Amino acid sequence: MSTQLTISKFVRMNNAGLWLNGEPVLTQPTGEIKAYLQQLYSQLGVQYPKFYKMDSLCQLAYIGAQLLLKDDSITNLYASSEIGAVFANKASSLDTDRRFHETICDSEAYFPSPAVFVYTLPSIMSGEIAISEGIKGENNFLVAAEFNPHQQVEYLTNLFATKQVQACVAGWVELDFENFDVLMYIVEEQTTGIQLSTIELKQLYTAKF
Amino acid sequence: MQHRVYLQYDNIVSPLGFTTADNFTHVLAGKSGLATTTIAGAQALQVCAGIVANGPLQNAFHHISSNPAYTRFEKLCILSMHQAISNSGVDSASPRTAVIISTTKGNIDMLYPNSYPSIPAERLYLASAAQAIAKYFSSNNQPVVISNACISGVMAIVTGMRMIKFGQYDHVIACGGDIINEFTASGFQSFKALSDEPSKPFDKDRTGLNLGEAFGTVVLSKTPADIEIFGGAASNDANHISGPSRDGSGLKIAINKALTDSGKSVMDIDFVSAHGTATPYNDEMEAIALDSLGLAEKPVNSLKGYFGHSLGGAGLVETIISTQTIRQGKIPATLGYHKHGVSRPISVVRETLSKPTNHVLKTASGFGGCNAALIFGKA
Repeated sequence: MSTQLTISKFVRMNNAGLWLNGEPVLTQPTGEIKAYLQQLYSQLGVQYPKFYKMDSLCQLAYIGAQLLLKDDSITNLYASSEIGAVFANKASSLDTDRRFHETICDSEAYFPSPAVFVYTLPSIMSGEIAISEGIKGENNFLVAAEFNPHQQVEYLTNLFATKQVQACVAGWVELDFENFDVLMYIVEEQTTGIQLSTIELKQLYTAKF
Repeated sequence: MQHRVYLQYDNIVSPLGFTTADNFTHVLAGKSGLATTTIAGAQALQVCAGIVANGPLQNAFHHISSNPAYTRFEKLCILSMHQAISNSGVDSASPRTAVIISTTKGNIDMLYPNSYPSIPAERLYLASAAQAIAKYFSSNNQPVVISNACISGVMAIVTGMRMIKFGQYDHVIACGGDIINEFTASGFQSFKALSDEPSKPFDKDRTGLNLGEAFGTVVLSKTPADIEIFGGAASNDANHISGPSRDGSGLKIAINKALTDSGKSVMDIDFVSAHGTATPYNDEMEAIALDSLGLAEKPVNSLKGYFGHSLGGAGLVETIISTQTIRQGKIPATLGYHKHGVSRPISVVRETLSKPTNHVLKTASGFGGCNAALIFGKA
């Protein structure tokens, strides 16, 4: 039986809801994003104090990764260096960039902090997920004008063709002001499942579950 | 079918010049682009950094374009790309030519109100800036924007290599760099990561890094050329988001994967172009990684003393300088290195070394615990 690249699990989160593999899970979005993320964290029932140091973008990515990886099925199946983390978004780390900017633009109130500055890079989300899950393989972060399934499929197809990973946590993790938009998924080589393709990703992204 | 991938042309725009040749000449002469400078902004930070002088930048840009409606970041990218593209003869408008932009912060100076009154605010978003740059060269493909901290530049080459190797494109134009302004300078300063003087990679008295503007462009192609990109890979330490893992194990994963990807072994490597930021932790970690892989006797250098840390540009600029090393058989000295200051006996080049160089290993590591490695050399 031949294998193909499949989307073995996926999480969809936006201002309208939160779904794991198409089923609603945890609490649906309420009000302000920071409070919502805290609520989700406590519902996950994990003990991970580093969560409170993360900025909202990394908290968002962390929650998505927990839903996908909490059962350890991927990290038990593959060596840590064979699992990648490749994400993308539109706003990069602008949410924290704006907050950091506020701490430096007024000479009367100048207080740049390393704890904030470290999050002015979108790729930190890969680092946070790598640390919490012990993932040591491919790392990359792409920025696109909008959710770009073609670009994601192209990148991941090439990555798996190098044989440098056997699985990859991937997807779109976007946060800009109060809008959040996530389609995070796991890619593995399997004989059955949702094929990793532009059409399938687009369908998962636009589906009303 | 897999294609071999070659480096057709390249260009560097930095305080050391607006061509690769000028940059390499100055590097070999031991000239640094770093100087004490005041960063404009609320705090008027004084830093030792490599800043491209505005006058020459605007003049050079004016020579190639009468349209001033581009930000500083965009002008530096366009200027860097222009010569590489026109020299290579690659058709940037072709659907078989991809554009990759590698940057950590792009147009971050647009966070300041009224910084560019005639430029749409949308260009604060990295993909929008990249699209403006790609459109300048008549590219209709969506540019690939890589923003992965300090490994962005290496990953731009790795990603571009894969896009040609696996047949999606015939050519890839990859450009990377970052403007240095108050946002970046104050951030690194808050980490106490900056040195007040030109940095000293691998040196006993190293105290930190300098920031620098250096925009490198490579034109990758399936058309044979004298330099070939053999392979590359990335990894994560999975240890800490703002400091490298002490044992270098994450970087070792990236280097080993790059070796496998390239079909080369440690014995094939003639020279290592290290990340060498001159922070206490990075240089020690790199030394451990290189030594434990059996690379301690290979000449290694860091170019950060000439350019500073050019963030999104580092992997590209330093690879380009290293391809000049391959062509001319001359390995530049590690400017700032005097007394060995890492715990492993790696062979840091302290004076220009004339040595036939066929295969180079380039390494990079960054915030978030990411690492990347690239192997390239004579085709």
